[in-house]
Amino acid sequence: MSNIVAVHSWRGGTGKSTLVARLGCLLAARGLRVGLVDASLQAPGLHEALGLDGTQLRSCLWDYLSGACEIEDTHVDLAALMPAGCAGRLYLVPARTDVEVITLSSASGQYDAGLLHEGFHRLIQVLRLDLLFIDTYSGANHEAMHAIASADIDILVTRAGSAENRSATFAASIAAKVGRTPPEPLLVVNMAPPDTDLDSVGVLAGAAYQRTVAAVLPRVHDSLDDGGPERHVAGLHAGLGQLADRLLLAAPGRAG
Amino acid sequence: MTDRVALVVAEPGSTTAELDHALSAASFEVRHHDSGELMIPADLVGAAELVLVSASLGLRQVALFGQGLAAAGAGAAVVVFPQGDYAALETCAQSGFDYVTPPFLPSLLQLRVSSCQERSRLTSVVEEIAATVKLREYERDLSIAREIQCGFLPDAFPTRDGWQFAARFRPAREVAGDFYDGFELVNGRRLGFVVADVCDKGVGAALFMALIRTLLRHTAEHTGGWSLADDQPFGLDPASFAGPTGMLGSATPMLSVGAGPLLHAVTGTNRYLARNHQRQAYFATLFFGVLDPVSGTLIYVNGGHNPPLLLRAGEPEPMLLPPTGPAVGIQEDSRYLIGTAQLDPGDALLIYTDGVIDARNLAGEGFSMDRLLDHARQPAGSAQSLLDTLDDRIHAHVQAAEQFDDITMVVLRRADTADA
Repeated sequence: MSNIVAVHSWRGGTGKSTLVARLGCLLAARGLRVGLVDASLQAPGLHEALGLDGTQLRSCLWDYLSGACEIEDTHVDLAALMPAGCAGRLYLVPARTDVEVITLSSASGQYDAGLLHEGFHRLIQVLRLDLLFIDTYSGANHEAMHAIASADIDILVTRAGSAENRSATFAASIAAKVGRTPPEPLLVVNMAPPDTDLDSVGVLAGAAYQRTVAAVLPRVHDSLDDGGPERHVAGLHAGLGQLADRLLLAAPGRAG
Repeated sequence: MTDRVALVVAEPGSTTAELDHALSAASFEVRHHDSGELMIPADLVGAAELVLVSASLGLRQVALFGQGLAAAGAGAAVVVFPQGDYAALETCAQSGFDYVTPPFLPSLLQLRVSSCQERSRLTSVVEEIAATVKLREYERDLSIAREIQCGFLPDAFPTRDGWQFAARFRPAREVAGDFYDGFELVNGRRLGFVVADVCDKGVGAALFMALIRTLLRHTAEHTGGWSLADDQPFGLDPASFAGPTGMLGSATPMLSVGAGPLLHAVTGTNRYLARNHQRQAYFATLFFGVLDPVSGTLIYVNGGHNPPLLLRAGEPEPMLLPPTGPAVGIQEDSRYLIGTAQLDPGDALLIYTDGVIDARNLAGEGFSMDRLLDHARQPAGSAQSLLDTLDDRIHAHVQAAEQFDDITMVVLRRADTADA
């Protein structure tokens, strides 16, 4: 069974990578085996959201796509981020390691797209993952669209009050092109301003995007620990918890 | 004693006693013809082995007699002789006529006659040789074209553990329009196999074969991914979508490794041909399969080609892989779908061209699909033996009849776990 969650947005700066990092940690702490893939080949950022030093990364998704290795050879075990004695696991596949040469070759789309799909499933199989998150670069780029094409759950992340492309059928039309049932479409309204009524923000956004609102998350500071006012952090954790619950419900099943 | 006849055409009113005597002594029966009459009677023409014409009659007259004889199809050698006027003899000799001069000794006469006849024979031999040389030149051009064509066929198929890949290629008398190909894709993760048939035969078809094979292979080897943003005329064939779960989970061939190269190669080649070679009106049927040797999954495009046979171990009836689109080169925006098939251990895929079905015996009867299916139902051994036995069966059917169309056969076989 495949439990692939694509996380995408139309605009930049909606907090996708941070969201994916937090969700990954949360679900792994609950005992799940979670994989995170940074498919943002143009602007890798997931490793930073996890507090990793980019220079320490030895292998990446691009190495696999360009034929240098298999995808399971690229993962980083993030056991250090887990609470002691935790049964869950968290793995990261970074997008690129060679940031110095990132401008020399546009890697986006320059490989057989089937490698992405096959790679996702292989990762799930080899690492025995319960959930695999695909973090993407904003907009309708090649990797984002293929992540959605592979996904069972598609999380669109937006900011409250944002006026952007609100196509309700985008994900469904991608799925139709490749002959799959469409992923479950969810909406996360992220980085809601302080003292906003989260519920009404959610209702408005859900109507505007015609998607089920999985969570409305208040804005807190970027790092995982330094959160700002207590209630915002609490609100964030509550929202994330809700989202995590939802994902567990929506996912078809857990790996053995 | 059957005498050889010599016909003497002398000046009117003259005698040729010495000549006649020498001729008789050389075992010729001498007949005379009145030079006043231009036409030599047919019975004389037929009988005469040697015709002696007096040079004194003048070159023109002599030539007329010679032409008359040639027109009548006579095999006689024509020789001029002098009757006092040696200048006239010179003229005739210079014009190419053979001649004899007094004294008309029988032995000399005999020798001269022999050499005239030999020369005449040599001339006809030379003419035959010239015709043969022309034929050889044509055949040499054909063999050069065929060599070029062979250069476009793969030296060998790629190899993979647990798989047998074999091909049989028999072009018809003229240069073939069939071809086959086998190569690696996506860093060796997949293998591409092509069998195609360009319409028509001859040098034109062979050139198109080279073009199509190059376009297909180059595009497939150099395509990166296809993009969901592309508005391509290709998609998924729901009818053939009976794929395995395998590595892909939800088993959609469009997301397979190799789908991009496959589709780009076929649609790109089709578009190029339809746009740039409309006038020549060539097209080709083709079957292009992309095999994952690890899982045995095959994704393919069948462009109007004879449906390959999927022979499944333990199942008597072969499965046909029907067309998923039209032949390439006809219409720019033709639509191609991907079909899928699964090769488990012991299974084999037989891809072939028209030439197999159409192979005719002397009675004009084709080998036919029925015989092919019948043969496919027999248990087969290795890929090579499947080809050998099928080839033998075709030969047995055709026997002495000339091969009408190119015959191409490719077999992909997944080794049985029981195979040695």
